[in-house]
Amino acid sequence: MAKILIVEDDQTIQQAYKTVLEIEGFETLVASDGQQALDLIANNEPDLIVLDMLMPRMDGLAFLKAYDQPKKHPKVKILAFSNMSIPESKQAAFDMGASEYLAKSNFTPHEMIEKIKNLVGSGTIEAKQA
Amino acid sequence: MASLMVIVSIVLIAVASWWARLRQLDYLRQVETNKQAAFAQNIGDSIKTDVTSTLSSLKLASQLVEIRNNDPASCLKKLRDLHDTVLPKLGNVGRINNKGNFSCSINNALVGRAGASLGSYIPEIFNDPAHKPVMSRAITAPGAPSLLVAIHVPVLNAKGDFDGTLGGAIYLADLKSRYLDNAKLSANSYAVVMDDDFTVISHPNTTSIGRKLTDPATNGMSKEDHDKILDAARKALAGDTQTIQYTASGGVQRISGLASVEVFPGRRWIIWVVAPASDINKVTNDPRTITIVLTLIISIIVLVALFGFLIIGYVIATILNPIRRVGIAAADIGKADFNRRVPYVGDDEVGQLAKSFNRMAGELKDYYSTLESRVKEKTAELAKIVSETEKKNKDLEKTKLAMLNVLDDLAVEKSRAEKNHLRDEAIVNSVGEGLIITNEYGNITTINPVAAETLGLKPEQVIGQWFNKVIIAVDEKEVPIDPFDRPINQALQTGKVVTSSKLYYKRVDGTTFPAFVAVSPIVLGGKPLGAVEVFRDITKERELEKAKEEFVSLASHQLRTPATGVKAFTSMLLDGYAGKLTPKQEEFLLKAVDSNERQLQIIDDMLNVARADSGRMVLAPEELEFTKLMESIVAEQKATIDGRKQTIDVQGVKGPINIMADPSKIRMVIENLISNASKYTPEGGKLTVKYAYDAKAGLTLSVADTGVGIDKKDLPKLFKKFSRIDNPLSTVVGGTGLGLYLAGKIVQLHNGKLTADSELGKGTTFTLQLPVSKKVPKSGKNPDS
Repeated sequence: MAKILIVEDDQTIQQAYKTVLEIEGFETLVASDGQQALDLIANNEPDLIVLDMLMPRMDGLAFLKAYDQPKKHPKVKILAFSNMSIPESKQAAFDMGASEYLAKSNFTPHEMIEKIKNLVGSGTIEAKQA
Repeated sequence: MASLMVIVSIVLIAVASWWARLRQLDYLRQVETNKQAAFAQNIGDSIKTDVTSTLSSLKLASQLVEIRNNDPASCLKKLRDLHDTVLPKLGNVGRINNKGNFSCSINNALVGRAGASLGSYIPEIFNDPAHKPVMSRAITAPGAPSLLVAIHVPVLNAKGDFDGTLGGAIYLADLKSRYLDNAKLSANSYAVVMDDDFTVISHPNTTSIGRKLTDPATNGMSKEDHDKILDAARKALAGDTQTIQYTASGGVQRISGLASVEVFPGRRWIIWVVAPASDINKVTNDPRTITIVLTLIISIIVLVALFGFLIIGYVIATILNPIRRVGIAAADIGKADFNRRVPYVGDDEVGQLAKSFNRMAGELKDYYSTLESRVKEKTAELAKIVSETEKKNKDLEKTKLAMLNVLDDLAVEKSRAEKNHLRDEAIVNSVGEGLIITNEYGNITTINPVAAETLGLKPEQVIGQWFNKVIIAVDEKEVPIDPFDRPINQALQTGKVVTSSKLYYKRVDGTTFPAFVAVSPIVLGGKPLGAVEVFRDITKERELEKAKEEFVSLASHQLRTPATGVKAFTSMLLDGYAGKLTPKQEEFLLKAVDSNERQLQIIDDMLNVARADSGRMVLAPEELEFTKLMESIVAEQKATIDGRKQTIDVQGVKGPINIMADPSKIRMVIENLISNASKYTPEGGKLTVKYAYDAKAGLTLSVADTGVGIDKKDLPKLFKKFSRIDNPLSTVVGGTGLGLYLAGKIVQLHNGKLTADSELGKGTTFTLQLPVSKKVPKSGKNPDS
């Protein structure tokens, strides 16, 4: 079962994603900011991170920097999303390991699931891909 | 002049007398010298006479019987007889018989001797068929006392046949004594006789006898002198009597005369008389000759003097006097008496001079009178000028008075102007905003208290200075603004009102503040005289704006989150994550979703506007394939268009068009245009979308509708913030009114142009133009709105 970390400070959204992902059969972890996220997956590597870029305390970019996916967690897929397209952070996000960058307001949770499935496959059938 | 003549005369006289004396001396010398020739001639003649008579006598005597018979006894007696009577000059007389021997002779020594033994002369007469008489050369004969010269005549017998000779000897010694010594020559003179072969036959110096003159001189005489004598002798021999002067041995000067006589037929003798040269002087020193000479000299002097005076008189009369007269006349003319003339006579040089002088005098007179008349003319002119000048002076006086009046008026005006000026100053000072007035060069002429205070400077610091120098303007990065770009310069250059809210002014203390600047040029007759600038510290306004923006931004963000939440769960419901929905449930949900979408849209717009306004809108340009974008947009909008029963006609190009643009933003713009076109067109209307690309103009897109149209007067407001134009459909359509504003901003950031054209009731066409871009700037500044 693919493990998905949800990093999102808005509880409503967080809940929405968690609900949908679980319905789809993914294992989920949730964090409300970057720091919490880092702590959470320190010893528990997920398959994909759904990362909100705009958060208090440690925002998406800071998290990416600290997480250093390209070097430290090359197998982990990162799906970044934000309220609006902010090109600098978009590029930076990609540089730092994001595979996708979405505008939150444009994507329904269902659409997001489609994207996730593209990245890690469906939760139940494909286990961790090498 | 006269003295010169006298001197010249004296010189001439001296020369003449000296010359005369010389000639006199020469003459006397010549006379004396000639005397010697005369002597020679005389002597010669004497000798000739005697010899000739002797010959005649001999010829007669040869016919005597006694001589002819040749009887020795009677012969001798006869001979003696003859000698005493008719032949005294002979030294000896003798008879040579037909055998050639002396048959008898006074000189007994000769009897029996052959005549030939004495010389060739006897054989000569014997051999001569004509038996002409002969004369021998100088010979010696036995018994003769000296050298002799013998003369023989033929004797003819009774039959007339040659029978020998009868002859005699002239003893040469006798010559000297008989002729030479008696010649009455002066003392120290002597004579020499020479035969025709230049043999000396008589000479005072007996050793010379027998020598020939042609022999080289042996007595120390120079060759020239010797030749001179010889030459003279030759000439004398030819009959030409000569007189010569020469230097004898010892340097003694001699004069000589040489003559010759024919003593015997075919035989000449030369007589050479020699006298000392000093004899001449004797003559010349002769008192008588001196007297003659002196008389001659004196008479010459007198004559020359007379002649000289005559000449002088002539010159004075004909040359000097006339010239002097000319001189006097010239002097008179010099005193301006031009009527003076010089009388002249004749056409010679002096006459010519006088004529020329008179002519000159005439011309001078004419010239002088011409001058006089000219002077009168000029004087008259001057007088005229003077009177004109006086008149001008009077006019000037009048003008001066007029000007003084004008000055008075000016003074009145000046005080009025001053009052006005003071009033204007008061106005300026009371204006509530910063006021700066400059002249046409940008030098500050006025600055009001508010301006000075705002800038933190004193008016006297800036008055007269160039505005750019004393009022520093910078941009938001504190980079000084190019003076050319400053509103004052722009206003002065363009003659139009220029405003700017981009500037920051720097206070004297170094702090800056944002300023709103409005400059109005002062134009008179089309030329800028200066500029009036009004400026305001808009820090508060800026802050307000910033605060507003921040609020909007913040509010939008805050609104977004719950809106997103609603979207999430409503979509989850719709996607069936909470189970299947009833149709009614779905219906209600869709409505909620719709509203939610709108919410999100509005929030997005507001955030975008806030970003655009604050200059924080950032483009993300990429290479964008426009055709594909268009197709996608049209496809999306199709639903809405179809829902309103409208048609959309897309006229584009088939092939790809690659441009550099921010895809999402451009998409937003085009979506806005198309959705507006649809919104503002009634149902059943037509939308036309055209797009094209060319390498020069770039991308051109037009969206035309057949909608309600926009009043032309409303067109300028179209792209402004919150613009909502009153139209019948507006309430139905909704919207924030931000769409076009944002679209305009986005296009602007792409360096493009967004324009609209419309006609009420007909429809509207929006045209988007994007230039050929190599690089669209990523970040846009907030241009003036």
